[in-house]
Amino acid sequence: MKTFGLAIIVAALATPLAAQWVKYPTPGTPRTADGKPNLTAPVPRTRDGKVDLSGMWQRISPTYRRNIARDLKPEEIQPWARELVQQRMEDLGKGQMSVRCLPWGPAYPTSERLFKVVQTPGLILMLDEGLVYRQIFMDGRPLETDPNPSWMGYSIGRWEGDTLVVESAGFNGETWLDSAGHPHTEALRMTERYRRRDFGHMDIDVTFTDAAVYARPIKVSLSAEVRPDTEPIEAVCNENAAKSLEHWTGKASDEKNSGVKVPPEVSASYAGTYVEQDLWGPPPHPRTIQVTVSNGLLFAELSNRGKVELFPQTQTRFAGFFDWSITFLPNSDGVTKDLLEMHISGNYRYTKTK
Amino acid sequence: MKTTLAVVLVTAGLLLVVRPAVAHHAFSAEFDANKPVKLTGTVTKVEWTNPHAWFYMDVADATGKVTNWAFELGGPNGLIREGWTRNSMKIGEIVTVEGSQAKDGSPIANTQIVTLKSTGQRLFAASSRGAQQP
Repeated sequence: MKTFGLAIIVAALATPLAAQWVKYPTPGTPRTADGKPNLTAPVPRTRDGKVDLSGMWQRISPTYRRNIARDLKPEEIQPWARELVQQRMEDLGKGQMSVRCLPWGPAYPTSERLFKVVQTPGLILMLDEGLVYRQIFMDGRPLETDPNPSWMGYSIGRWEGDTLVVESAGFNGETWLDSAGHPHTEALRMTERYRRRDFGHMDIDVTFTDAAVYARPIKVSLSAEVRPDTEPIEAVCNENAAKSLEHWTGKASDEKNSGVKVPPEVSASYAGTYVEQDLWGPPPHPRTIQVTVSNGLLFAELSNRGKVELFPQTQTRFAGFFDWSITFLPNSDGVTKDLLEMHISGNYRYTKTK
Repeated sequence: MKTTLAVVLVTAGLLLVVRPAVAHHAFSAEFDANKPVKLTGTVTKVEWTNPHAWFYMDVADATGKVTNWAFELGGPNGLIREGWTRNSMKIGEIVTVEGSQAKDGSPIANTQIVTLKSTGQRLFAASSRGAQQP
Protein backbone atom coordinates (compact mmCIF):
# COMPACT_ATOMS: atom_id res chain seq x y z
CA MET A 1 0.00 0.00 0.00
CA LYS A 2 1.31 3.43 -0.84
CA THR A 3 1.30 4.70 2.75
CA PHE A 4 3.55 1.80 3.87
CA GLY A 5 6.12 2.76 1.26
CA LEU A 6 5.81 6.39 2.36
CA ALA A 7 6.52 5.43 5.96
CA ILE A 8 9.70 3.61 4.97
CA ILE A 9 11.01 6.58 3.02
CA VAL A 10 10.14 9.00 5.79
CA ALA A 11 11.78 6.76 8.38
CA ALA A 12 14.91 6.63 6.30
CA LEU A 13 15.14 10.40 6.22
CA ALA A 14 13.82 11.81 9.45
CA THR A 15 12.01 10.99 12.68
CA PRO A 16 8.71 9.81 11.21
CA LEU A 17 6.50 10.80 14.12
CA ALA A 18 7.70 14.38 14.52
CA ALA A 19 5.51 17.44 13.89
CA GLN A 20 2.40 15.50 12.91
CA TRP A 21 0.28 18.61 12.29
CA VAL A 22 2.59 19.55 9.42
CA LYS A 23 0.82 16.79 7.50
CA TYR A 24 -2.58 16.17 9.11
CA PRO A 25 -5.88 15.88 7.20
CA THR A 26 -7.78 19.18 7.32
CA PRO A 27 -11.47 18.52 7.99
CA GLY A 28 -13.79 19.56 5.18
CA THR A 29 -11.19 19.14 2.43
CA PRO A 30 -12.80 17.76 -0.74
CA ARG A 31 -10.98 14.58 -1.80
CA THR A 32 -10.69 12.39 -4.85
CA ALA A 33 -11.43 8.66 -4.69
CA ASP A 34 -7.87 7.86 -3.54
CA GLY A 35 -8.11 10.28 -0.61
CA LYS A 36 -5.96 13.05 -2.06
CA PRO A 37 -7.17 16.66 -1.74
CA ASN A 38 -9.13 17.70 -4.83
CA LEU A 39 -7.68 21.09 -5.68
CA THR A 40 -10.03 21.59 -8.62
CA ALA A 41 -13.21 20.91 -6.64
CA PRO A 42 -15.78 23.71 -6.79
CA VAL A 43 -15.32 26.87 -4.73
CA PRO A 44 -16.54 26.28 -1.16
CA ARG A 45 -19.33 28.55 0.02
CA THR A 46 -20.64 29.66 3.40
CA ARG A 47 -24.21 29.04 4.51
CA ASP A 48 -25.31 32.42 3.17
CA GLY A 49 -23.90 31.64 -0.27
CA LYS A 50 -20.74 33.71 -0.11
CA VAL A 51 -17.45 32.30 -1.36
CA ASP A 52 -15.48 30.90 1.61
CA LEU A 53 -11.82 31.90 1.45
CA SER A 54 -10.92 29.93 4.59
CA GLY A 55 -7.88 27.73 4.31
CA MET A 56 -4.12 27.55 4.29
CA TRP A 57 -2.69 29.38 1.29
CA GLN A 58 0.69 29.70 -0.40
CA ARG A 59 1.07 32.94 -2.33
CA ILE A 60 2.86 32.72 -5.67
CA SER A 61 4.31 36.08 -6.67
CA PRO A 62 7.33 35.68 -8.91
CA THR A 63 6.88 38.81 -10.99
CA TYR A 64 6.43 41.49 -8.37
CA ARG A 65 7.51 40.25 -4.97
CA ARG A 66 10.99 41.73 -5.16
CA ASN A 67 9.96 44.90 -7.00
CA ILE A 68 6.33 45.99 -6.95
CA ALA A 69 7.19 49.07 -9.05
CA ARG A 70 8.73 47.17 -11.96
CA ASP A 71 6.05 48.36 -14.41
CA LEU A 72 6.60 52.02 -13.56
CA LYS A 73 8.91 54.27 -15.55
CA PRO A 74 11.62 55.96 -13.48
CA GLU A 75 9.98 59.38 -13.94
CA GLU A 76 6.81 58.00 -12.33
CA ILE A 77 8.67 57.59 -9.03
CA GLN A 78 9.82 60.59 -6.98
CA PRO A 79 13.61 61.11 -7.24
CA TRP A 80 14.07 60.86 -3.47
CA ALA A 81 12.28 57.49 -3.52
CA ARG A 82 14.45 56.20 -6.36
CA GLU A 83 17.57 57.30 -4.50
CA LEU A 84 16.32 55.64 -1.33
CA VAL A 85 15.82 52.35 -3.20
CA GLN A 86 19.40 52.55 -4.55
CA GLN A 87 20.75 53.25 -1.09
CA ARG A 88 18.77 50.39 0.48
CA MET A 89 19.99 47.92 -2.14
CA GLU A 90 23.57 49.19 -1.85
CA ASP A 91 23.37 48.51 1.86
CA LEU A 92 22.53 44.85 1.10
CA GLY A 93 18.90 45.28 2.05
CA LYS A 94 19.74 45.20 5.75
CA GLY A 95 16.87 47.55 6.54
CA GLN A 96 14.18 45.13 5.32
CA MET A 97 11.40 44.31 7.74
CA SER A 98 12.28 40.64 7.40
CA VAL A 99 15.88 41.29 8.48
CA ARG A 100 14.90 43.66 11.31
CA CYS A 101 12.16 41.27 12.42
CA LEU A 102 9.37 43.83 12.12
CA PRO A 103 5.92 43.38 10.59
CA TRP A 104 5.94 43.70 6.81
CA GLY A 105 2.59 45.52 6.80
CA PRO A 106 1.49 46.29 3.22
CA ALA A 107 4.22 44.02 1.80
CA TYR A 108 2.52 40.80 2.96
CA PRO A 109 -0.23 40.64 0.31
CA THR A 110 2.27 40.72 -2.59
CA SER A 111 4.85 38.44 -0.95
CA GLU A 112 5.31 34.67 -1.27
CA ARG A 113 4.45 33.90 2.33
CA LEU A 114 2.06 31.23 3.54
CA PHE A 115 -1.09 32.59 5.18
CA LYS A 116 -4.16 31.14 6.81
CA VAL A 117 -7.59 32.67 6.18
CA VAL A 118 -10.30 32.28 8.80
CA GLN A 119 -13.60 33.60 7.47
CA THR A 120 -16.57 34.49 9.65
CA PRO A 121 -19.60 36.51 8.48
CA GLY A 122 -18.52 39.81 10.01
CA LEU A 123 -14.75 39.41 10.08
CA ILE A 124 -12.05 37.77 7.98
CA LEU A 125 -8.73 37.00 9.62
CA MET A 126 -5.46 36.51 7.78
CA LEU A 127 -2.78 34.85 9.91
CA ASP A 128 0.93 34.81 9.13
CA GLU A 129 3.51 32.33 10.44
CA GLY A 130 5.42 35.24 11.95
CA LEU A 131 2.57 35.58 14.48
CA VAL A 132 1.19 38.63 12.69
CA TYR A 133 -2.53 38.91 11.98
CA ARG A 134 -4.82 41.12 9.94
CA GLN A 135 -8.46 41.80 10.63
CA ILE A 136 -10.65 42.59 7.63
CA PHE A 137 -13.95 43.94 8.94
CA MET A 138 -16.97 42.89 6.89
CA ASP A 139 -19.58 44.65 9.04
CA GLY A 140 -20.01 47.76 6.90
CA ARG A 141 -17.93 50.07 9.07
CA PRO A 142 -16.05 52.85 7.25
CA LEU A 143 -12.30 53.27 7.52
CA GLU A 144 -11.28 55.62 10.33
CA THR A 145 -10.85 59.26 9.33
CA ASP A 146 -7.92 59.79 11.70
CA PRO A 147 -6.32 56.42 12.37
CA ASN A 148 -3.40 55.92 14.69
CA PRO A 149 -0.66 54.94 12.18
CA SER A 150 0.14 51.26 12.41
CA TRP A 151 2.36 48.59 10.89
CA MET A 152 -0.48 46.44 9.55
CA GLY A 153 -2.98 49.18 8.66
CA TYR A 154 -6.73 48.97 9.08
CA SER A 155 -8.81 46.95 6.65
CA ILE A 156 -12.45 46.74 5.63
CA GLY A 157 -13.90 44.41 3.06
CA ARG A 158 -16.97 43.81 0.92
CA TRP A 159 -18.10 41.30 -1.69
CA GLU A 160 -18.40 42.26 -5.34
CA GLY A 161 -20.05 39.13 -6.62
CA ASP A 162 -17.58 36.36 -5.83
CA THR A 163 -14.61 38.72 -5.39
CA LEU A 164 -13.53 39.94 -1.96
CA VAL A 165 -12.48 43.60 -2.19
CA VAL A 166 -10.41 44.90 0.71
CA GLU A 167 -9.56 48.57 1.34
CA SER A 168 -6.76 49.43 3.75
CA ALA A 169 -5.32 52.65 5.14
CA GLY A 170 -3.73 53.94 8.33
CA PHE A 171 -0.28 52.53 7.70
CA ASN A 172 2.75 54.05 9.35
CA GLY A 173 5.49 55.12 6.94
CA GLU A 174 8.04 52.63 8.24
CA THR A 175 7.70 49.65 5.97
CA TRP A 176 9.15 48.76 2.57
CA LEU A 177 6.65 47.76 -0.09
CA ASP A 178 9.09 45.12 -1.38
CA SER A 179 12.58 43.76 -0.79
CA ALA A 180 14.00 46.31 -3.24
CA GLY A 181 13.04 48.96 -0.70
CA HIS A 182 10.25 50.94 -2.38
CA PRO A 183 9.00 53.38 0.27
CA HIS A 184 5.53 54.67 1.06
CA THR A 185 4.01 57.36 3.28
CA GLU A 186 1.24 57.33 5.88
CA ALA A 187 -1.12 58.31 3.06
CA LEU A 188 -0.78 54.87 1.42
CA ARG A 189 -4.06 53.25 0.37
CA MET A 190 -4.07 49.58 -0.54
CA THR A 191 -6.87 47.77 -2.40
CA GLU A 192 -6.85 44.00 -2.69
CA ARG A 193 -9.11 41.78 -4.76
CA TYR A 194 -9.28 38.08 -3.91
CA ARG A 195 -11.06 35.71 -6.29
CA ARG A 196 -11.07 32.03 -5.41
CA ARG A 197 -11.49 30.19 -8.72
CA ASP A 198 -11.89 26.68 -7.31
CA PHE A 199 -11.02 24.88 -4.11
CA GLY A 200 -7.27 25.07 -4.67
CA HIS A 201 -6.62 28.31 -6.58
CA MET A 202 -7.04 32.03 -6.01
CA ASP A 203 -6.23 35.11 -8.09
CA ILE A 204 -5.08 38.19 -6.20
CA ASP A 205 -4.73 41.78 -7.41
CA VAL A 206 -3.24 44.48 -5.22
CA THR A 207 -3.24 48.22 -5.99
CA PHE A 208 -1.10 50.71 -4.07
CA THR A 209 -1.94 54.40 -4.22
CA ASP A 210 0.48 56.92 -2.71
CA ALA A 211 0.58 60.07 -4.83
CA ALA A 212 3.37 61.65 -2.81
CA VAL A 213 5.71 58.90 -4.05
CA TYR A 214 4.24 57.27 -7.17
CA ALA A 215 2.68 59.26 -10.01
CA ARG A 216 0.05 56.60 -10.68
CA PRO A 217 -1.43 53.67 -8.77
CA ILE A 218 0.79 50.58 -8.76
CA LYS A 219 -1.01 47.38 -9.81
CA VAL A 220 0.36 44.00 -8.83
CA SER A 221 -1.02 40.60 -9.83
CA LEU A 222 -0.26 37.34 -8.12
CA SER A 223 -1.97 34.10 -7.21
CA ALA A 224 -2.28 31.66 -4.34
CA GLU A 225 -2.69 27.90 -4.01
CA VAL A 226 -4.15 25.91 -1.18
CA ARG A 227 -1.62 23.96 0.87
CA PRO A 228 -3.85 21.12 1.98
CA ASP A 229 -3.60 19.13 5.18
CA THR A 230 -1.06 21.38 6.87
CA GLU A 231 -0.91 24.25 9.35
CA PRO A 232 1.16 27.40 9.76
CA ILE A 233 4.44 26.78 11.60
CA GLU A 234 5.37 29.50 14.04
CA ALA A 235 8.42 31.50 12.96
CA VAL A 236 9.63 34.09 15.47
CA CYS A 237 12.24 35.99 13.49
CA ASN A 238 13.72 37.80 16.46
CA GLU A 239 14.86 34.67 18.28
CA ASN A 240 18.22 34.56 16.50
CA ALA A 241 18.21 37.32 13.89
CA ALA A 242 21.35 39.06 15.11
CA LYS A 243 23.47 35.98 14.46
CA SER A 244 23.44 36.24 10.66
CA LEU A 245 23.50 40.01 10.55
CA GLU A 246 26.77 40.16 12.48
CA HIS A 247 28.55 38.88 9.41
CA TRP A 248 26.97 40.93 6.64
CA THR A 249 29.77 43.16 5.43
CA GLY A 250 30.51 45.43 2.54
CA LYS A 251 28.27 47.03 -0.02
CA ALA A 252 26.35 45.70 -3.01
CA SER A 253 28.59 47.59 -5.41
CA ASP A 254 31.73 45.84 -4.09
CA GLU A 255 31.27 43.08 -6.64
CA LYS A 256 31.40 45.65 -9.45
CA ASN A 257 34.81 46.81 -8.26
CA SER A 258 36.70 43.52 -8.12
CA GLY A 259 39.37 44.75 -10.53
CA VAL A 260 39.27 41.41 -12.35
CA LYS A 261 39.46 41.62 -16.14
CA VAL A 262 38.40 38.74 -18.39
CA PRO A 263 39.91 38.60 -21.92
CA PRO A 264 37.31 39.04 -24.70
CA GLU A 265 37.90 35.58 -26.16
CA VAL A 266 37.21 34.02 -22.74
CA SER A 267 33.96 35.99 -22.35
CA ALA A 268 32.96 34.97 -25.86
CA SER A 269 33.47 31.31 -24.96
CA TYR A 270 30.83 31.65 -22.24
CA ALA A 271 28.12 32.91 -24.59
CA GLY A 272 25.22 30.61 -25.33
CA THR A 273 21.91 29.32 -24.04
CA TYR A 274 22.02 27.17 -20.93
CA VAL A 275 19.14 25.01 -19.74
CA GLU A 276 18.38 24.24 -16.09
CA GLN A 277 19.30 20.69 -14.99
CA ASP A 278 19.07 20.96 -11.18
CA LEU A 279 15.68 22.46 -10.44
CA TRP A 280 15.24 25.33 -8.04
CA GLY A 281 12.38 27.64 -7.35
CA PRO A 282 8.85 27.83 -8.67
CA PRO A 283 7.77 26.65 -12.14
CA PRO A 284 7.87 26.99 -15.06
CA HIS A 285 10.82 24.67 -15.59
CA PRO A 286 13.29 24.36 -17.06
CA ARG A 287 14.56 27.87 -16.67
CA THR A 288 17.11 29.05 -19.23
CA ILE A 289 20.00 31.47 -18.99
CA GLN A 290 21.06 33.22 -22.15
CA VAL A 291 24.62 34.56 -21.91
CA THR A 292 25.67 37.23 -24.39
CA VAL A 293 28.65 39.53 -24.88
CA SER A 294 28.26 43.18 -25.81
CA ASN A 295 31.01 45.80 -25.89
CA GLY A 296 33.27 43.49 -23.92
CA LEU A 297 30.70 43.11 -21.16
CA LEU A 298 28.99 39.84 -20.23
CA PHE A 299 25.20 39.74 -19.82
CA ALA A 300 22.88 37.00 -18.65
CA GLU A 301 19.15 36.79 -19.21
CA LEU A 302 17.15 34.47 -16.96
CA SER A 303 13.99 33.14 -18.56
CA ASN A 304 11.56 34.32 -15.90
CA ARG A 305 13.44 37.33 -14.50
CA GLY A 306 15.14 39.49 -17.10
CA LYS A 307 18.61 40.50 -18.25
CA VAL A 308 21.48 41.72 -16.09
CA GLU A 309 25.15 42.56 -16.44
CA LEU A 310 27.60 40.08 -14.92
CA PHE A 311 30.65 41.30 -12.97
CA PRO A 312 33.79 39.12 -12.97
CA GLN A 313 35.11 38.05 -9.58
CA THR A 314 37.53 35.51 -11.10
CA GLN A 315 38.07 34.33 -14.68
CA THR A 316 35.16 31.90 -14.31
CA ARG A 317 32.92 33.34 -11.59
CA PHE A 318 30.63 36.31 -12.08
CA ALA A 319 28.47 38.18 -9.60
CA GLY A 320 25.42 40.31 -10.28
CA PHE A 321 23.04 37.54 -11.29
CA PHE A 322 19.97 38.48 -9.21
CA ASP A 323 21.82 38.13 -5.83
CA TRP A 324 23.41 34.88 -7.01
CA SER A 325 26.70 34.18 -8.75
CA ILE A 326 27.37 32.22 -11.91
CA THR A 327 30.41 30.00 -12.27
CA PHE A 328 31.25 28.82 -15.77
CA LEU A 329 32.86 25.38 -16.02
CA PRO A 330 35.26 25.30 -18.98
CA ASN A 331 36.80 21.91 -19.71
CA SER A 332 40.53 21.35 -20.29
CA ASP A 333 40.11 22.50 -23.92
CA GLY A 334 38.58 25.78 -22.80
CA VAL A 335 35.13 24.79 -24.05
CA THR A 336 32.29 25.69 -21.67
CA LYS A 337 29.27 23.41 -21.66
CA ASP A 338 28.00 23.97 -18.12
CA LEU A 339 27.48 26.69 -15.59
CA LEU A 340 26.51 26.71 -11.93
CA GLU A 341 23.96 29.11 -10.47
CA MET A 342 25.31 29.61 -6.96
CA HIS A 343 22.83 29.96 -4.09
CA ILE A 344 23.22 29.91 -0.32
CA SER A 345 21.60 26.47 -0.46
CA GLY A 346 24.02 25.12 -3.03
CA ASN A 347 24.88 25.10 -6.71
CA TYR A 348 22.37 24.46 -9.47
CA ARG A 349 23.70 23.24 -12.80
CA TYR A 350 22.69 24.43 -16.27
CA THR A 351 23.92 22.85 -19.51
CA LYS A 352 24.52 24.67 -22.78
CA THR A 353 22.22 23.68 -25.63
CA LYS A 354 23.46 26.07 -28.27
CA MET B 1 19.46 20.19 -4.92
CA LYS B 2 19.33 17.22 -7.26
CA THR B 3 16.17 15.73 -8.66
CA THR B 4 16.66 11.97 -8.21
CA LEU B 5 15.58 11.98 -4.59
CA ALA B 6 12.72 14.22 -5.60
CA VAL B 7 11.39 11.47 -7.87
CA VAL B 8 11.20 9.10 -4.90
CA LEU B 9 9.46 11.65 -2.72
CA VAL B 10 7.02 12.80 -5.40
CA THR B 11 5.89 9.21 -5.72
CA ALA B 12 5.56 9.00 -1.96
CA GLY B 13 3.34 12.06 -1.95
CA LEU B 14 5.65 14.10 0.23
CA LEU B 15 6.06 16.82 -2.39
CA LEU B 16 5.66 20.31 -1.06
CA VAL B 17 6.86 23.43 -2.75
CA VAL B 18 8.63 25.30 0.01
CA ARG B 19 9.22 29.02 -0.06
CA PRO B 20 11.54 30.90 2.24
CA ALA B 21 9.82 32.42 5.23
CA VAL B 22 12.07 35.46 5.21
CA ALA B 23 12.84 37.66 2.29
CA HIS B 24 15.76 36.46 0.30
CA HIS B 25 19.09 37.96 1.17
CA ALA B 26 22.13 37.88 -0.99
CA PHE B 27 24.69 35.12 -0.55
CA SER B 28 27.36 37.69 -1.22
CA ALA B 29 26.29 39.83 1.74
CA GLU B 30 27.63 37.23 4.10
CA PHE B 31 29.70 34.61 2.34
CA ASP B 32 32.60 34.55 -0.10
CA ALA B 33 32.39 32.03 -2.93
CA ASN B 34 36.16 32.52 -3.29
CA LYS B 35 36.57 30.74 0.04
CA PRO B 36 35.12 27.26 -0.34
CA VAL B 37 35.42 24.99 2.68
CA LYS B 38 35.07 21.27 3.15
CA LEU B 39 35.43 20.39 6.80
CA THR B 40 34.89 17.30 8.90
CA GLY B 41 34.28 17.55 12.60
CA THR B 42 32.18 16.70 15.60
CA VAL B 43 28.84 18.41 16.13
CA THR B 44 28.78 20.37 19.39
CA LYS B 45 25.50 22.27 19.18
CA VAL B 46 22.36 22.75 17.08
CA GLU B 47 20.36 25.99 17.21
CA TRP B 48 16.99 25.25 15.68
CA THR B 49 16.04 28.93 15.41
CA ASN B 50 14.55 31.53 13.14
CA PRO B 51 15.40 33.11 10.80
CA HIS B 52 18.20 30.57 10.19
CA ALA B 53 19.06 27.34 11.94
CA TRP B 54 22.73 26.96 12.87
CA PHE B 55 24.94 24.09 13.93
CA TYR B 56 28.42 24.12 15.43
CA MET B 57 31.26 21.71 14.95
CA ASP B 58 34.73 21.22 16.43
CA VAL B 59 37.23 20.97 13.59
CA ALA B 60 40.86 19.98 14.20
CA ASP B 61 43.54 21.34 11.89
CA ALA B 62 46.70 19.49 10.84
CA THR B 63 48.44 20.45 14.08
CA GLY B 64 45.54 19.20 16.16
CA LYS B 65 44.35 22.67 17.11
CA VAL B 66 40.56 22.67 17.41
CA THR B 67 38.36 25.50 16.18
CA ASN B 68 34.62 25.58 16.71
CA TRP B 69 32.96 26.44 13.38
CA ALA B 70 29.42 27.75 12.92
CA PHE B 71 27.34 26.72 9.90
CA GLU B 72 24.24 28.51 8.69
CA LEU B 73 21.28 26.50 7.41
CA GLY B 74 17.96 27.60 5.98
CA GLY B 75 15.03 28.49 8.18
CA PRO B 76 13.54 25.76 10.39
CA ASN B 77 10.08 26.05 8.79
CA GLY B 78 11.44 25.02 5.41
CA LEU B 79 13.48 22.23 6.99
CA ILE B 80 10.47 20.97 8.97
CA ARG B 81 8.31 20.90 5.86
CA GLU B 82 11.04 18.82 4.20
CA GLY B 83 10.79 16.31 7.05
CA TRP B 84 13.79 17.39 9.15
CA THR B 85 13.60 18.19 12.87
CA ARG B 86 15.76 19.67 15.59
CA ASN B 87 16.85 16.11 16.38
CA SER B 88 17.96 15.21 12.86
CA MET B 89 21.55 16.07 13.73
CA LYS B 90 22.88 14.68 17.01
CA ILE B 91 25.49 16.20 19.28
CA GLY B 92 28.68 14.18 18.93
CA GLU B 93 27.90 13.09 15.38
CA ILE B 94 30.78 13.34 12.90
CA VAL B 95 29.77 15.21 9.76
CA THR B 96 31.41 16.64 6.68
CA VAL B 97 30.25 20.07 5.56
CA GLU B 98 30.80 21.79 2.24
CA GLY B 99 30.10 25.49 1.91
CA SER B 100 31.60 28.94 1.55
CA GLN B 101 33.30 30.81 4.35
CA ALA B 102 32.10 34.14 5.74
CA LYS B 103 33.41 37.23 3.95
CA ASP B 104 34.88 38.53 7.18
CA GLY B 105 37.06 35.43 7.59
CA SER B 106 35.36 34.13 10.76
CA PRO B 107 35.07 30.38 11.28
CA ILE B 108 31.57 30.55 9.83
CA ALA B 109 30.24 29.13 6.60
CA ASN B 110 26.99 28.53 4.84
CA THR B 111 25.95 24.93 4.31
CA GLN B 112 25.64 23.51 0.83
CA ILE B 113 26.13 19.85 1.66
CA VAL B 114 26.14 18.14 5.07
CA THR B 115 27.01 14.46 5.09
CA LEU B 116 26.97 12.03 8.00
CA LYS B 117 30.39 10.38 8.09
CA SER B 118 29.03 7.06 9.33
CA THR B 119 26.39 6.44 6.67
CA GLY B 120 27.05 8.98 3.92
CA GLN B 121 23.47 10.21 4.36
CA ARG B 122 22.87 13.83 3.40
CA LEU B 123 21.29 15.86 6.18
CA PHE B 124 18.95 18.82 5.66
CA ALA B 125 18.85 18.23 1.92
CA ALA B 126 16.06 20.01 0.09
CA SER B 127 14.16 17.02 -1.15
CA SER B 128 11.44 18.27 -3.40
CA ARG B 129 11.40 19.74 -6.86
CA GLY B 130 11.27 23.48 -6.58
CA ALA B 131 12.21 23.66 -2.91
CA GLN B 132 13.41 27.14 -2.41
CA GLN B 133 15.93 27.69 0.33
CA PRO B 134 17.64 30.91 -0.74
